[in-house]
Amino acid sequence: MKFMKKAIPAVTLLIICAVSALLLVFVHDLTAVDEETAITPEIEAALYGIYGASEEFTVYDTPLGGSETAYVNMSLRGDAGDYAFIIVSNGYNKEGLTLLVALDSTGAVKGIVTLESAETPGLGTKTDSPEFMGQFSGFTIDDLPIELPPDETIYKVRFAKSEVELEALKASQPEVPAAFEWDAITGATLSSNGVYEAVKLAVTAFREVHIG
Amino acid sequence: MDKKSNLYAFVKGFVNENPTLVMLLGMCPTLAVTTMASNGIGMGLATTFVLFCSNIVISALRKVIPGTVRLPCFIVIITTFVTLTDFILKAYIPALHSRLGIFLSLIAVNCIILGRAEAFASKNGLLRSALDGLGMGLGFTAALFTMGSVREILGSGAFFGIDLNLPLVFPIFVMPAGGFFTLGIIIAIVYKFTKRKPPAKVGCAACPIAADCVNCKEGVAE
Repeated sequence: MKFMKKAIPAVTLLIICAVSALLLVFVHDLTAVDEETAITPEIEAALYGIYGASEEFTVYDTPLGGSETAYVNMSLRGDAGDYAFIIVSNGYNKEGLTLLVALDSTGAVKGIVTLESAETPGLGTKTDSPEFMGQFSGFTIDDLPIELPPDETIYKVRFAKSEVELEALKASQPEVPAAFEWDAITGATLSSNGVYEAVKLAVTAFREVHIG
Repeated sequence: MDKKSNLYAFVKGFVNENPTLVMLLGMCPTLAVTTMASNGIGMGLATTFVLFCSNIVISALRKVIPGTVRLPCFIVIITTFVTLTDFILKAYIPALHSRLGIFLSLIAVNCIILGRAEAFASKNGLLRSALDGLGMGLGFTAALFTMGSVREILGSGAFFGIDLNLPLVFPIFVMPAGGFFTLGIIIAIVYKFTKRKPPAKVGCAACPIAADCVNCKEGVAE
């Protein structure tokens, strides 16, 4: 009898927990949506704003890798051969920017939409302007900065013994292609870099799905 | 107004015993999600739903739940409704769900809800507890809406996302510092409005460590 009296509180708590759990299981089954592959209304609106109503997008392959600073969260493929990537990028905050980078069928950037931003209001959020996003329009894989192997002629020039040798050495230096130029937003360098990283990742991802 | 009436159980949450502005409970969501008026309303209504449902269930079960395990039972019931709200918002209003973020799940530890469960629902009948939950919840919503409106208008020059074309905005109001500032001003106005006196100076008489306390100037009580 004494044991029974002691057990009552525990049993009551157990019953309440069990009823709660059953209720939650039921509601979860009713409302659960597969988040990984779902095209949310937000994404749909962003795609509509860039491509118009004619193109239907489906989730193509997800995810598609990335680097330390940005990764592809979802890849979308349109029925006209266009690709769009949802990229989570580090801004001022880690993974602070979720961007939809839209490419046309040749792999050039068509438009960028900020889906989610955890950046500082008034500073980092300024990247979400047509002036800033617009400067990446037309960015392709060819605009990626090329990393040249260390060039020894630069050091040789310093120790050139005569004018003639110097001219010859200068002429033999490989020509560095002009880097893609873009303007960061003042006070939002890290957010701006985050957008640029996302753009670079998008064109790389496009090459992967297009060739590989 | 008669403090025992059902109407008072409902109305007291708005001004006299407003959970946020007078009792200063639930400060975490109050400061965190009120950057926009619509966020404030969303958070307030979600909390109201949880408060209303948990008050009803706790009041109905108040004679069944043994005193020794009442707090765990209350918490399980509250968390159940919070998770329920979380699921429902995620499925039907995903935009609001993503804006409220972690603070939606944190309704579970909102002291307003546990406070009402312990202080009111576990001692009062079903109808009064339901009215109390509804009143407190709507009072919380009203406070969050006021905060959100002030911060959105001054901080981003918009109201419910509609641009007001203000000549000058102060982004600091959207940031945490502006939240504290706004909250302080609103509390001051509510105190003035309800003609409440600031809390009386608390002496050392009730302090359990008065005997050993070096700062105690009043000496040991008794």
